[in-house]
Amino acid sequence: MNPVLELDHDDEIVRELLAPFARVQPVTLRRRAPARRSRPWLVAAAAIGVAILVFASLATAGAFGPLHGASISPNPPTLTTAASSDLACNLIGQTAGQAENTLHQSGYQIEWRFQYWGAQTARAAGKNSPGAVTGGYATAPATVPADSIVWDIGADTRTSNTLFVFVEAPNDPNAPTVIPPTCQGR
Amino acid sequence: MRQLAEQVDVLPEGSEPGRTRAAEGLAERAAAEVVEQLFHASEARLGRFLAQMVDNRALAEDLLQDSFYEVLRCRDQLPEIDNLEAWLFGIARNRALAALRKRRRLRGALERLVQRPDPAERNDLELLELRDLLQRHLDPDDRALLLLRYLHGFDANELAAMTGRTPEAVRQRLARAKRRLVRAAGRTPTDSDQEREP
Repeated sequence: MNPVLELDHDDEIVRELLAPFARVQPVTLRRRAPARRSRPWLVAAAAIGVAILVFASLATAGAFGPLHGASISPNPPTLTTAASSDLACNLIGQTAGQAENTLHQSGYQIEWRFQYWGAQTARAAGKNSPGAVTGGYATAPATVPADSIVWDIGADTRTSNTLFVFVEAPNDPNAPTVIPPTCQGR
Repeated sequence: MRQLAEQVDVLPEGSEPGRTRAAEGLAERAAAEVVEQLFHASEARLGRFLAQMVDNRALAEDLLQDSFYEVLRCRDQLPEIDNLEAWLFGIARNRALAALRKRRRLRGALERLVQRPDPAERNDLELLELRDLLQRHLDPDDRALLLLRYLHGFDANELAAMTGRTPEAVRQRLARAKRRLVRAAGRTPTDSDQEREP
């Protein structure tokens, strides 16, 4: 075929009409991207750094402070054999050292219960404020730091002069707010 | 490319009993190299043709991938093929037509509603109008013929080899498609029954 004959009038029109198609970008075969050199230590260090930054930011913002809204209302026993019937009641919120002196002077034996408060709170249905702190635990040490805070006292019903004194660290971030009971002697 | 070649099971069916496995391996590697060269030489043109044929780039990429895979699958036929590029375009054309038929049959209405052109083409109104014109007035087979003839330079003999028609049948079909397009575009076609296609 003579190529001159191909270039008739219609051919030129068709080429002109199809010309915009020349601007279509070709598609290409999808090739796998080259594998990057993996540096797990770098990734781990970056992750740890980010975690520390986040933790520090949250701590600064007070996110790990006391459980807002969580509170506790202890109900210490009335000690009928004590010099003051409101002895135990008045010790709530005092330090362990003060409580120890007072109770020993009154002839009581102490079993310490040191409370580590958990970080979770539970709330009753329909209540906005937490009704309990969960996830903590208590130990029964022979002695406790003198600056520990007494948050409740219970009577050992098996004996007449032994009390369970519940204390917590003064800086326990998860400690609920203790609402002191109304004591007659106060 | 090399990765693509390695994905294919290399031993052809019906290997001659006398051939050693080593010789088969050498032949396979030679064929793979030919295919690789063909891909390298034709990828851009073929990719453009497929992007012109279908207005969905993801589909065009799939078709390109399929076309090359088909070439790899049939690589034992390579020595018998005179015009490798025309053969490759023929495979791509068949794949594109099959995809367009399937799309039209199964999802035509939905595609028209939700189909969006490639972001690079959205502002090219002239190109959008051309796609619309071709889709409304020419069937996919005729569109492929016109693109292959006028944008990719294949002659009637090559188009005949691609389509399984005679060169004369290709010329007649091209002439009809050309006249239809010229009329659809509001231009005046040469009013002659004499087919003067390549």
